[in-house]
Amino acid sequence: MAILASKKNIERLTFILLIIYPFTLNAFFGYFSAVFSFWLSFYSWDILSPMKFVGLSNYYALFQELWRGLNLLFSDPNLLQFRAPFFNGLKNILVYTAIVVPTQTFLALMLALMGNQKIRGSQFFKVAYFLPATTCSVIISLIFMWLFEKDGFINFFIIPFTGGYRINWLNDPTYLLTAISLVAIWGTSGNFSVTFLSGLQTLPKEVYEAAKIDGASSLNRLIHITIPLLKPIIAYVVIMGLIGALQMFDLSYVMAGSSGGVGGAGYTITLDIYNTAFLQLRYGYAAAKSVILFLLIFSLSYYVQNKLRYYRHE
Amino acid sequence: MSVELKNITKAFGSTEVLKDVNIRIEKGEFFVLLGPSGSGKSTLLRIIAGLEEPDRGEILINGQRVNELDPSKRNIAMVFQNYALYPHMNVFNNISFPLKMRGVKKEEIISKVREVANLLNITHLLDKYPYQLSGGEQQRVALARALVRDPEVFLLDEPLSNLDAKLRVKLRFELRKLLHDQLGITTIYVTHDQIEAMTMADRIAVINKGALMQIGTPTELYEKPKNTFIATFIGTPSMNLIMARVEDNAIKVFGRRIIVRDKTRLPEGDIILGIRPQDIKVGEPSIARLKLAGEEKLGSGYILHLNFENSELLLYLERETAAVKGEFIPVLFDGPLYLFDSSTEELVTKIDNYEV
Amino acid sequence: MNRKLFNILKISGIYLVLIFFALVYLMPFIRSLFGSFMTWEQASYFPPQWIPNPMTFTNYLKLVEISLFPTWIINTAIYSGIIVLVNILTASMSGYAFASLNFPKKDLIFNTLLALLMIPPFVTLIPNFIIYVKLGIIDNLFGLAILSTANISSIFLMRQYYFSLGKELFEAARIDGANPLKAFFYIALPLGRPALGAISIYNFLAAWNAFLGPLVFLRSPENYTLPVGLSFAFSRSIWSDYGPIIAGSLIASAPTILLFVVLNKYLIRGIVIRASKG
Repeated sequence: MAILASKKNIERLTFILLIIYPFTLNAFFGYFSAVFSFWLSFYSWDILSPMKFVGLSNYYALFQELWRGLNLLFSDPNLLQFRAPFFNGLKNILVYTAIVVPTQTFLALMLALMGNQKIRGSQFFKVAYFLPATTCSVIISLIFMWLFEKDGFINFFIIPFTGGYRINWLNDPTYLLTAISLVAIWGTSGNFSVTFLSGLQTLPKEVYEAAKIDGASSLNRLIHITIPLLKPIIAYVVIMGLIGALQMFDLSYVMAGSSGGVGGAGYTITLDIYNTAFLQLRYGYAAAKSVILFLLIFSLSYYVQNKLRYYRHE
Repeated sequence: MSVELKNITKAFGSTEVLKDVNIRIEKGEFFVLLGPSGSGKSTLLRIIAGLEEPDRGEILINGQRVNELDPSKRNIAMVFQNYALYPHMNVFNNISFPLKMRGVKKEEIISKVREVANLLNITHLLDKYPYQLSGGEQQRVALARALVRDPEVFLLDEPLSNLDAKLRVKLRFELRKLLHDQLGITTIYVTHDQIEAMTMADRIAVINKGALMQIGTPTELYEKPKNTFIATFIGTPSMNLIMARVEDNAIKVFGRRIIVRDKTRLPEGDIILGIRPQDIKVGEPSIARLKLAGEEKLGSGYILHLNFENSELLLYLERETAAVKGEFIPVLFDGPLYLFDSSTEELVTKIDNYEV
Repeated sequence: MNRKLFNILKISGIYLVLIFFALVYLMPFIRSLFGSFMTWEQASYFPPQWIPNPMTFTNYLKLVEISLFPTWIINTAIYSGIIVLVNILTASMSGYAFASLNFPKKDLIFNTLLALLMIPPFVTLIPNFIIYVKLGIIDNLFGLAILSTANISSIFLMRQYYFSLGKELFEAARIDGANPLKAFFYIALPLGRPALGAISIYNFLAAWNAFLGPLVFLRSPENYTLPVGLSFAFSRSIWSDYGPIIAGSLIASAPTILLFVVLNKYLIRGIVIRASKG
């Protein structure tokens, strides 16, 4: 009881009591697992047989695969998925990210700027735009697969522009990744536009009033005041979008299947990690791939963050 | 209950906020901790409450060391500057909370809350929530919550500073009447307002930059300030400080000699001469003729700003003078003179009897 | 006059674009709603038709008759329920502890937890799967739920919320005789209600929509949650045609849609907090 009577100890014991569960859980399934993953990447293991230390050979195999993929890209791209799936996934996800992140950021910003005007029904627009973000990505994919059918709803609106040609979105390697990207943009841009909108509403009104008095046109106010003041939020949206896009899994898994669909056109890094681990049971190799994914995400978002910060100080 | 602080020292990072503070507060005393903001007075109060821990030193309540006791076990009550009323509880539940935490029986809680609500005239507010109350009402609820369990020591952290001026003056008087005259609780009251301190306290401890400057009754602090900080901090307008010299046991100021009639020997050399604005008069035989720089009307009196050399002399008058700005007016000293050491700024001596 | 005309044109233009995009975002839901009552022949007819003719409930009936769909609803509800309830506790408890209790190096401990947000789920997925296999709790809904019961963003949000309340309230409670644990139950928990509401919604959406975790950790169809179940049913062509998939998707997304339409103000406020931290 003497321990309990002391003020210091009461507080410390309570602190430990209150955080012990979340702390242990996250330390174990977060930090321990992250370290375990790194450690595992130096082993060859299928869970059932004993672990075998293989040194850097997982990474060696990985870079061989990347090199092979790079060569095939120019000589025989049809073999990519078959002979260098990790490279194919990497290539696809980079293309996908390059399409999705700028488009959704621009679209979100544009919608937010318009929604920020003094108009009636802005709450309705917010709800409408945000709704896809609250809906499960698997469900979204399933609905869109129906809409993307050759004789489907979307083609009906497209044929006036293609001269009657109906695109076979999901079964044509040229269009599969585009279809997935469109679904992703549809699913997240509304979410980010609400982020922008709440950012816009925190901007100081005085600055705009001052600019109006100084005679700045609305276009000038947008370019010289709104955009620069929004830079931190733009950076946030770009980085969040980047992190999400590089790890895209659900849409490809449902819309293209775990093998990446026709010609592996919808294959991603995360699908490759999933397959390597849970279908081929090569856990060590999969862990090495996840380490590379982590480095990719970390360095890209770090790079973007620095670049955007640089602009802000300009 | 008495409260005793021994060698209390506390630092936040590398900044020392309390340096070796020793205070003894007697049972039933209304004790004020006075100091400018950032002086460490609030930290001292929070150390007594147990919300902060001293780096060194002891806190004794009624002779018992309480350093290790949790705030909940110290039997102290505290009123916070922003009252800290629980926003999700109505007034009744706010006041009864300390009793509930101590496992007091329901009937007793009800009668105690009624009693203290009666005492503070807030019976009609018991069903309301804090956000429905005015500042003054919130203040009384906070007091009631602190009083309801008959604490041994009562701590108040600038409890009046969020109220408007009129209410502040009224509550100043009522607080002392209630806590000291009626209930006789040992009270420690933190404020930066010297008028509040002077009007309410039995004794005041003046704290500056983490160090205890002086402890004493309001009269002692006013009449025998230990150093120039206290001399200028207490009393409005502030005491005038004038650079002067002592030669042959006489003070040389404004080119005149003030001869001390007391038997004390004065230290020779540079000194700081202090005199309160109330103790300077206009008239002859003057010690100097000084230029009138301006006048402030206080309603009850007038403050004259007089220039000499590069500094200013303040003078408090009850009646307006006929003098106009720029005019040279004759002044004479009519009250005690304070001599401070020119380097340590400590009081050397106070002179009541002198001749110009 | 000119200026007025310009303004009217500008506002109409903005409305046109906003309504166009609202249609783009809402159309898949609307189209599914109509389509779910159609026969598959009609639903896949080109050009698209709008009015179900004949109106049929076969798609919905098939969900109940030929599949584990009802079981998946119950599983998802249990899984989300556990995650929401436990996260309310863990987030409020540790948020309060990190915000207002003294502990050596507590900010370091907190930042260590926060740094975990930078690690992609795919990095920890494989080790966690292996741990679960070794512990023998693979293919177990409750076991899977445990992984999501101490959400770090929620803890962060609660910590910020308690900071914003100011420390005086908790100090007052301590002086009033409440020990740190009582101060939590009497002051912090009831005061945390608005923030806990937002946290509940977020965790509910995340759990209800979760795919990767359930896909990897659940093995037998009777343990599936809705997203895994629907994706499984689709890839195995359980219902032979696509109609029930659409109907099932609508039912599966109904709770999140309803929740969002009713509580959208809460959610959108939550984004402001998140955006301003980043």
